[in-house]
Amino acid sequence: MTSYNIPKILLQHGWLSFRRAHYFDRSMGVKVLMVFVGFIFIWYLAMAGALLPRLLVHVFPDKEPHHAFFSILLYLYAADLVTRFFVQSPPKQLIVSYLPLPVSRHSLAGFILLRGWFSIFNIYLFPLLIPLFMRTLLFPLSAGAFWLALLGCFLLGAVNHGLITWFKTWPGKQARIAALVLFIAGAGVAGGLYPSAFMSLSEQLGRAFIAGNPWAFMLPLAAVIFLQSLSKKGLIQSFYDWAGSGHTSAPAGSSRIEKFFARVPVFGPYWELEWKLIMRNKRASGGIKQWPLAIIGIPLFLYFAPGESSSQYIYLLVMVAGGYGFYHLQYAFSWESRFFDLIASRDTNMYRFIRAKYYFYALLAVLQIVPMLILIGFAAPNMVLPMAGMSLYVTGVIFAFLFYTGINNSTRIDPNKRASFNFEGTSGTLFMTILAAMFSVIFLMIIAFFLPFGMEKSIALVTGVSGLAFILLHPKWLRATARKFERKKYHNLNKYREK
Amino acid sequence: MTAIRIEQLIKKYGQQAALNIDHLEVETGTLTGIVGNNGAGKTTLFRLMLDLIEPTGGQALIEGKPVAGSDHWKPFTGSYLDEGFLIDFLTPEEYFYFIGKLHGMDPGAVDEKLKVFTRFTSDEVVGQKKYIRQLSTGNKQKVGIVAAMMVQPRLLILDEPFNYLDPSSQIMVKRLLKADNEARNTTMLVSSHNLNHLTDICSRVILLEKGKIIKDLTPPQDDLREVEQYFSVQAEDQGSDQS
Repeated sequence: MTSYNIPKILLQHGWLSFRRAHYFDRSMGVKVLMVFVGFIFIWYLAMAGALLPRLLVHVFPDKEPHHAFFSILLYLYAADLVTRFFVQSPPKQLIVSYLPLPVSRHSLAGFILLRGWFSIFNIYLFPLLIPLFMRTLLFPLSAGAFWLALLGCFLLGAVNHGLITWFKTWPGKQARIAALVLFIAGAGVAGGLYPSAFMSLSEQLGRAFIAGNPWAFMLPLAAVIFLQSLSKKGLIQSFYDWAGSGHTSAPAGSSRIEKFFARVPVFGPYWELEWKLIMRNKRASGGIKQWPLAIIGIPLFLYFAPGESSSQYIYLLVMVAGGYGFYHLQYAFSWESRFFDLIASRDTNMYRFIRAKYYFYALLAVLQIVPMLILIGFAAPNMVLPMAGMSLYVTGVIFAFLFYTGINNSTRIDPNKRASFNFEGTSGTLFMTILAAMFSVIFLMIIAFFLPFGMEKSIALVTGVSGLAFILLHPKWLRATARKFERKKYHNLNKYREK
Repeated sequence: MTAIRIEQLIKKYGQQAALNIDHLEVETGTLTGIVGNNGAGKTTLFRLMLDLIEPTGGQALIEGKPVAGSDHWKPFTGSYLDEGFLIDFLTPEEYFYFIGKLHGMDPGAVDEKLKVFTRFTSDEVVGQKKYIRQLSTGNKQKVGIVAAMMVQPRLLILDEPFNYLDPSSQIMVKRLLKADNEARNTTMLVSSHNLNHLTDICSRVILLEKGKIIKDLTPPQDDLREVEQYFSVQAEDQGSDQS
């Protein structure tokens, strides 16, 4: 094999790894559902893009819609950077098996950098930008302005891509965390303390794009090239870490939280194990690390959101009101799939195991929801009662539903494999379960509509009372769940063992 | 006293019988070796005995009570079949403490029990600040064996415990098993591909083939060369089939 062929072969392998990924290995029904949800997502973005000019005129009455949009362009890409920080990861999992082969490290690094560009994060804003620019640039101005604006936005996204790739591939974690936090904090302070100056700079940049000013394109392009060359250097050094020679940074029993959980009577061993499972696996910890952001972000969203009624945001409330458990319990017992043989053959009672799990996620929900409710009290006081009612509903009714139906999800998952978007553990049943959980609130809203207390109080009352009833009756449904698990035990253990 | 009794135990996958044992009894304190080629049914037998798969027919009993759908055997049974018994995001110490807690042992008691295995783990397992998933396959095997043995079970079930271990560690496993069996009269079921390992320590050797017991021997009274000869004939038959 000549070195000439290697980039081509690596690209072919990259394509095969994408094409043969778990999420394509699904039934036709699930694929159709996934495509449908994808279309809904794109549709929402496109609608937002089409309607945004009207909102911009309303907020900035003295500006042209495209100038108004350009003035918030840098804020949009700052938000994009923060999103990428939490979710985007380089495709480094592909590389370890190539390291011992006669492939140069430069080729490998180049391949990773190239493969990294095939990321949804580099295109996901375009369904919003294209209709927006069509309405504000293509028809009122010119096709040239339209294309130049799109190119400029692509370059801003590319700078973010370059920053995240550099951040996530460079060895020496503390230095890069410090650098990126400084960068984001600097942008945040600039945007927060001097909003008019920041917005003016942002608008000038947008105007420079559509005017075809070469510097507006050269500067981000130079930044991308610089960041990519830095990343390549860092990547070559990072290979050693990726090969798995690194030690754990947290020695046994070093965490105070672990020690606290371990001391809890009866449920201590299970809680300690649950906490370690979450914190020491990429896929599980990815979700929980986003929670501090959600505690601040949801009240901020409710503060700025134009709607007055909680019913407008009912699905958002369902998703956040159960805390981390709503996400985690969707995969119920698959998190333990890799060692369920141990659990099943040791002196562990299934009812105690499931009860410990429920109490753990109910406790996490309380820890996450209480500070969020306090902030909502300042940001959107009318949302406090509905949010509190919804918290009881999710930790009671929805958790019961997720536990009971979760036994039907017998997929083996590797909690350490991927930080986000757990397609490996997604099944048609799970998909329908989540849809059912989300849409269950429609019935509550119908009931609330007929109550004489006003919509806000009625929603809070209906969700709160039904949730409380399930929380008080939890021994009954947990026992039923444990009995169901025993009935499906052999089937699930067989599935968990399938590699 | 009978520790294990198997009555007409059958496990089928489709029409294929993975295991079909009409009757088997294992007396308390016996160190029994199970030997057989790949696919002979060793692991299936162990999984049925640990209630990890559902029998198609018949039953396995531990200390007189059926295993299936029951928990009575769990407090006094230690087992390690494969990596599915390891919690890979824990360090070995944390794993041992967790198993200890399930058996009512505090960390001090676990540390005390682990002292017996210090030479076996030879500073490569404990105190390394590594998660189990970062250990070599051999060291993972050691973690599983130690976790199964340290709770001092009355019944110990180990599937291929000599796999992945270096020669010194293989000898140490044999010594540990023999010592524990003699000191505490532990009933042990140990499977292996290697007949020599089993003849060194076992008071009974059962040969499984295609899910059935075809020989049940008690060395040194019975000559195990018979079993060796059986495998030689099998190998020759397979060789002639291929040619």
